[in-house]
Formats: sequence, C-alpha cells, structure tokens
Amino acid sequence: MLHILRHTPQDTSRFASSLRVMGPKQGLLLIEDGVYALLPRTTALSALQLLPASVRLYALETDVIARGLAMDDVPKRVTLVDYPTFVQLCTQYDKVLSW
Amino acid sequence: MKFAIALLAGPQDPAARSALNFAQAVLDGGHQINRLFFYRDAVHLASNLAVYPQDESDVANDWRDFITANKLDAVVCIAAALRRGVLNEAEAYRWERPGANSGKPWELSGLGQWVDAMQTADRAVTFGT
Amino acid sequence: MSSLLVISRHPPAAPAAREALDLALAAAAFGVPVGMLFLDAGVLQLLKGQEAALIKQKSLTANLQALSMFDVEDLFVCQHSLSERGLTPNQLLLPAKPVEGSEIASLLEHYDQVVTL
Repeated sequence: MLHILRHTPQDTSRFASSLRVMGPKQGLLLIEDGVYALLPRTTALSALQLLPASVRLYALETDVIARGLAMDDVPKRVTLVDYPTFVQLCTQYDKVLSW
Repeated sequence: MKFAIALLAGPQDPAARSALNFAQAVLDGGHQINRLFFYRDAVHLASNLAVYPQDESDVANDWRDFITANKLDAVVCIAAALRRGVLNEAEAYRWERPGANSGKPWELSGLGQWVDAMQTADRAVTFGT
Repeated sequence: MSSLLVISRHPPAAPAAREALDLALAAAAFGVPVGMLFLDAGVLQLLKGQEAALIKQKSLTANLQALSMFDVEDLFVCQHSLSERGLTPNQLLLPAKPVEGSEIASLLEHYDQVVTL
C-alpha cells in the first residue's frame, strides 16, 4: 500500500496517524504541504527517519522545490519523484491511501 | 491500468493542480481514466463564472481543456454542487434559479458514479482530502 | 470489491462530515461491502447526545443509525484517537469496535480500496 500525505505534519494529526498505522513494506509519498515533513531538525523528520528501512519514502520533487526546501537537506532515504513516477508508484503498490 | 480519480478540494487548493498533473501523467503513461469525480469544494471547478487575474493560472479552465481534449467522463456530485451554487441549465430551471453556471464537459450526477468508478478501476486515487 | 472509508477529519458540525457518511450510504446502496473506520477528529461524530439543531445543523445521528439498515456493520474506531480525547467506547452512539495501530494496519490491508474523507 502507498500512503500519500498532503498535509503539514505540524498542523494536523494526519501525519502522526499515518505513521502509526504504517505497515512494513509500505510506501509513503509526501506531496503538497506534506513535504514540510522534510524540514530539518523537526520532530516530523525524526519520526520519518525512525520508520523501518523496509518502508520506502518518496517526495514529489516539484512540491519540495516550490516550497523552498533545500535539496541538500533531503535525507538520502527519501527518493524525489516526478508525476510519471508518482503514477508508476500507484501501479506498483496494490492500493493507494490519501491522508 | 484503469484509474478512478476523485478530487475533494476546490480551485484555491493546490490539490486541484496536483490532481490535474497526476491525471495527465496517467494518460501519458499509457493508462486509462475510467472516470473523474468531483466532490465537496471541488465542484466549484465546474463553475464557469470564476475570473482570474491574467497573471494567475486558471485551474478550472485547464481542467475543462484537459477533460474535453481527452473526452473524459467528468462527474460532479449533484448534491454537493447544488449546495454550493453550481448549477447547469436543467438544475437552474428545476430549482427556479436566475441562471446556470455550469455545463459541458461537466456532468452533474450522484455519488453512485464514484462508487461505480471505484468498482471498475484497478486503482482509486483521491486528491484534496 | 470491498471498500473501507476512513472518517478522519471532520467533527460533526462540519458539513463535510455528512458528505463522508453519504458516500458510505451510497456504496452500501450499490451493494458494495463497506467498512468504516473513525479516526482522529472523526471519532467525535460518534459521540452520544448531540443536539445539532441548536446550531442549525442537521443531525448526523439519523444517518449514522441508518448505516445498520444498509448493512454497514463493520464499524471500527481508533482507540488512540478516543484516548487522546478522553473518550471511552461506551460514550459512542454506535457499537464501533475499538482498534489499535497494528490492527488498523491489517484493516487497511484487508479491504480492496481505502478512501479517506
């Protein structure tokens, strides 16, 4: 299953809820304001880093750049993707859950 | 693969643009879209009365062009639309309102259309939750 | 194809709360096996004793109670979200089953499609 998170982790409980129910081998794609989870030195980013290595992390590159996040700060385990790859991810995982 | 795509947020939300970019990428990737469904504030996209300043992008117009160019089935939830003042000719006449602000390529219909689209799609993706 | 609706954001006074329930009823009317999971602020929709009419809102209670008539009986509520709000299952107007994080993960896997509203 691919989880898609579009809300700022600092403002809503959706980020925390999605992590709480995340199974191993699932994926998490950050889009829109969800990319703010990548802000350095935040509890959100630490929580992401603590996910098991089997959980794959992705972020929509245009949304990261559009919001002024420094690319150098994006952790190595996060794969930056474009829209064609976003579509591919949806086909690779058996279902999609938007938070 | 067949995709059912739903949008729940209105033209002022970045989700309106994300969903459009995604839908375009679905078709570019050789997949099909069996239906687009517009619910909650996304029904405002079906209004043809919004006016944007020239230097702002008109996402409703871009959706309209995309739907028309690809001959897609674009269903707007009728109950959500009526509540928010988005009416086609038939509904304006039925409810005795002074004018209609929606029409082709949008179709006003029930939530069952979303349920049906999810049933027949390989993937259901929702934007603007 | 079975569907799970995750009702997660809207407290009962938000019109969007009713629009979420409408989808459950529509799915059930079409004979789609549907389950519902109330999570985060969504759990507030289930609180007993709501008098929505006082603030000119249509009550959700009737819609919620209609769920069983439409055979929507797989109702779940997030235990964590209840605890966060100081609530217990006996304060709810529907017999929703309290579930923890790992149980929610398997619920999400069990259904063919999951929609969050």
